[in-house]
Amino acid sequence: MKADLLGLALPVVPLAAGLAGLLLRYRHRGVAAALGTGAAAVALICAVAVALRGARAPDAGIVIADFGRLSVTLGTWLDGPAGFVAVAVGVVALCVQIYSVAYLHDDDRYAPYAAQVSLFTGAMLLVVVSGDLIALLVGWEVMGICSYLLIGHDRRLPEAPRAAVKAFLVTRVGDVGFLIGIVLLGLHAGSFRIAEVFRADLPAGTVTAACVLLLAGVAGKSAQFPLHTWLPDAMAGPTPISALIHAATMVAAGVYVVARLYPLFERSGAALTVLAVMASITMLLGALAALGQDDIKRVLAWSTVSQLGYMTGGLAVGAPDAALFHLLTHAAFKALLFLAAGAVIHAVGTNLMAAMGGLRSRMPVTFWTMTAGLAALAGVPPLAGFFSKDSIIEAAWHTARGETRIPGPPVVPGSISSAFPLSATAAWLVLAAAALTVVLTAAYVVRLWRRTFLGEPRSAAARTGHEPPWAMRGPLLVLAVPTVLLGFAGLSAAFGRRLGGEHAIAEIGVFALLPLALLALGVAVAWRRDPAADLPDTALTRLLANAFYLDAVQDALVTRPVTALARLARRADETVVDGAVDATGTGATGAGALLARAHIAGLPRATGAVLGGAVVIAAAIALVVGVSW
Amino acid sequence: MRIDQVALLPTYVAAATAVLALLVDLLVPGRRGAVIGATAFGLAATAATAIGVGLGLGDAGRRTAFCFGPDQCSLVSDPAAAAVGAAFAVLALGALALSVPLLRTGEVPVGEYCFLLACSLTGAVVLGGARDLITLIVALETLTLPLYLLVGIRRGAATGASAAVTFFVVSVVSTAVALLGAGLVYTATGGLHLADIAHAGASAPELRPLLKVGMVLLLAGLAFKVAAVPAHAWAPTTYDGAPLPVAAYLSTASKLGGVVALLLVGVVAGGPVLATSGLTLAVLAVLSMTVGNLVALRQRRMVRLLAWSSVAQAGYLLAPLGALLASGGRTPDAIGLVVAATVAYALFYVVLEFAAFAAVVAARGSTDGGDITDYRGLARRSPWVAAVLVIALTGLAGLPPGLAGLFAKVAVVRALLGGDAAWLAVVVALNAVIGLAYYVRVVATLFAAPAAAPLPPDSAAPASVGAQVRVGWPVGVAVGVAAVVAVLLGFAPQGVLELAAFFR
Repeated sequence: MKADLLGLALPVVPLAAGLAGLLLRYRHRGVAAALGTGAAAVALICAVAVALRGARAPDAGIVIADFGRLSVTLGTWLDGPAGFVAVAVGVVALCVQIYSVAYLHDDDRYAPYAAQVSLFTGAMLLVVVSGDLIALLVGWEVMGICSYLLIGHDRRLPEAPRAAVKAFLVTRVGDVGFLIGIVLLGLHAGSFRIAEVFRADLPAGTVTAACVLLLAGVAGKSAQFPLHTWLPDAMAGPTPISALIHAATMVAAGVYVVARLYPLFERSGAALTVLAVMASITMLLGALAALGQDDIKRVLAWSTVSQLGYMTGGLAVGAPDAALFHLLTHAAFKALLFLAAGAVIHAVGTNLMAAMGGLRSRMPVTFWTMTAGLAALAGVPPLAGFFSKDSIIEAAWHTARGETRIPGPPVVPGSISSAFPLSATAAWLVLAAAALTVVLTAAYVVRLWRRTFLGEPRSAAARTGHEPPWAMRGPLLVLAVPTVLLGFAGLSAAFGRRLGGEHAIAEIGVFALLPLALLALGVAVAWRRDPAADLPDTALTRLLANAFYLDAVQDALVTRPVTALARLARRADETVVDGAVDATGTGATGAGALLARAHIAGLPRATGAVLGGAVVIAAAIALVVGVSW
Repeated sequence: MRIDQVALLPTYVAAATAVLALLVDLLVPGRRGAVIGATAFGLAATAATAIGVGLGLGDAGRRTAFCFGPDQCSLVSDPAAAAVGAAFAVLALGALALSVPLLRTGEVPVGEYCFLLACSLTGAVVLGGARDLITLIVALETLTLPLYLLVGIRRGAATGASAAVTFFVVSVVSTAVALLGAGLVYTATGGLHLADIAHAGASAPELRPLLKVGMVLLLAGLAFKVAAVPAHAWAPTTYDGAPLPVAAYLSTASKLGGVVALLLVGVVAGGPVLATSGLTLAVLAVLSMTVGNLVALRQRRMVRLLAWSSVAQAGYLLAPLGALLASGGRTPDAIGLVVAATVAYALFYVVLEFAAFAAVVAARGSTDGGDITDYRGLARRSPWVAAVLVIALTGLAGLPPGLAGLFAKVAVVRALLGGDAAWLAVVVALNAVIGLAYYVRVVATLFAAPAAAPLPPDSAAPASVGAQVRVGWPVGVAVGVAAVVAVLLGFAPQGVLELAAFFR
């Protein structure tokens, strides 16, 4: 079989539904909802079938385009992680589609919204299943576009268009590197098919260059420092979009792509070091910034940045299986957290935690599911986040002590196995950052939990808040199941092998006591504060609330120079290029006026022109052709 | 000397039409319809006869009359001549149709009007077959002479009189220049027949400068007929002062006659001095395009705009012939190409220009074209007329949807590039850009909101502003046929290009 039809159906069905949905008129809400949820359901069924079927080798694929000796194929490579990630995407997409029907019931632009969500789902699944780098890039870019459209969906919000443009531009900066990296790999390997790129004998320099370039794109999509600034602003989009795109799927795409191309990254210590430093900074930065926010969605957004740092950290220390495991658990609990936050916002009518409080009794379902999600985020055993986070920390510990080996046949013949190329210092850095982040995570989780649900209601809306309709409550309950139970999969050796490891991912040992102790410390620190009190207005809190003023730095270093350059280019265009065009126009008109005036005198000049013209032409001919010949 | 009467048949029919018009006017006085009908019948018959003679030529390919030798014939009837004759007759018929509202006003003597129109046609029909200088110039003058009267035929119209005088004086001067040139050419070659002139060049090298000067003067004089710069200054005044149908006839039939004459003299007779005639025509083309387009930018009156644009179009018409200047343009193949391009452009141009004038007549009646601002909102008042005007103007500018103009410009530029005269192609392209400006401005005016009539209530509102003009069915038919032909040519330009191949 040339192409795996089941695998192809995964991206094609939602993409087709999305394109069809874009043609719908705004008033066809029912059709749009049916199309969106139907496509997500079909995609989920396909994904479950793929996951149950087990890992497959890459197929040959259908050739889409030939460029000389390079060709672009639409083929699939459904290895173990691809199946699981596809299931995660399908579950979250279906939950979000159902949730959105209720959440956007007053929105007259629901139809294009649902279509864009379908389109996004298809694009993400294309990234997941594709066995070809160019097809992967197509999905990657379509996700970027859908993210832009969906962040800017709510036109009443003044900050939405700005946030959409920011997200688009910042990720685009990284995508340039991503594109160049892909082209570099394809040209040197002679093929864009991932399996052939792995087989190709690439020089070490090329691998390092390509991996670092790819990391630029990964940093953009997965909101890694220094390209993380778009993610908190992207919370201007509707809350289900935050759950789908900016928590569970798109931001995970960068992590997934690194895991997919891990055989390349394993060859380049430099790229892994870059990844390790990036991950450490991102982890700490996200957690610190989350501590300083009062907007519930921005807390979750910064926590997403921080958790993505865990995943990239896991990749950097040679544990792609642990990183993917954290990706899956994070997809479950972060989607749950965003949808629950949406329910809270739906009830209270504001994003600010200052206006919440005491919602526990009025919204029990939301309270309990969100508690489970927050506990998983903090890493409370035995919830999902505990296992996945612990496995990353343990992997960092092993690498720091030089115990990690590259699996598979050794690169240097004769030795038993190759040493992992990441330096111990970088691994220690990741370990320290991860440990510190556990404390900070516990602190901001406790703060959010107590400020939202406990204490006295701090506004009229919070006093009258109520549970959302069942279309919104249902997805919360569905997502609560993996949030609580998915961690136990980490204890299964079969699951570990499917994610590319050699044994069970989470082997709980004595070392697990360290994160638990740190967790308790964070909780204890946070519990001593009065949840009703706002943060004191000190230099430190301002620094945290503004995420170390990195937006201002970015503004000064990038935005202003680029704007100045653009203004210069525009002025040059207006005065030089357009000026030349305008001058041509006025010049022609002026010449016309002059000639027209010469024709006013009429008859005498007309006759003179005939006679004079004949003489002038004769003279011109004598000059040019000559008289004799 | 053998005279093939069949070759003369279209001329006879055209002349008979003139006589018929006078007779009908005499026999049934006061019946305008009868005179117009009889004339229309005669013009149609002329067209039919020309086509019939052309189709009946058979294998021989041509009929001849007034011959002194195998090539020394004063008149031939070949497919090209037949096509030209039929085209002239159809244009005269169209002009007559546009004249119906004018004739109804009673400002114009109907019998004389029809007689003069038919006379002009007679000259035009002869012109297509003329093969010696005397026949050529006499035919051309027969074509032009009745037009002096037609331009000023409206009783009591001062502008018409001044227009007629301008037209007459400039024409006389130009004809004098042309005759001087013809005399010099005769002196240099000793031949009047185009074939003699074409073959005489090599025999007497010392007479070559004389031949060149004669050719330059002849071409410069004939340039008057196409209103090419420098013999162009009559066109705006004359077009604007003349009744609109006469202006339409002047800018189509008369211009087509000029093109035929220039082709016959410059290319057929100019064989030995092709570089000279090529350069003359190139200079005429560049001047006409540039001056015509630039001045057209500043025009406020519709007919003056059309006049200046027709000056510019004369430049496009002559531009392919300018390729004869370059040595690469003087091979037999290249000559065939540039001649075909000229003829094709002439046919496209004639149809589009006639459609433009017909639309103006339909919108405004046949006396006065008015200011361009008077056409504001025409698209709302009379959408069909506005549509025809849009097709005609965009076609003249060389834009779709009137693809005819586009194909014509492409044909011209291709001929120039093929004839190794790229600089001239660049000039044509630049001028096409300038031309866009004023054509598009007029088209945009048609769709603008009508001016909020700022007239004081007691003044007599002129019929022009916003009023629907009733023009009768002949004008409607003429507009419709012109528009249909323009669109058909746009979609099937191959027919015109094949027809143009007759002239190679």
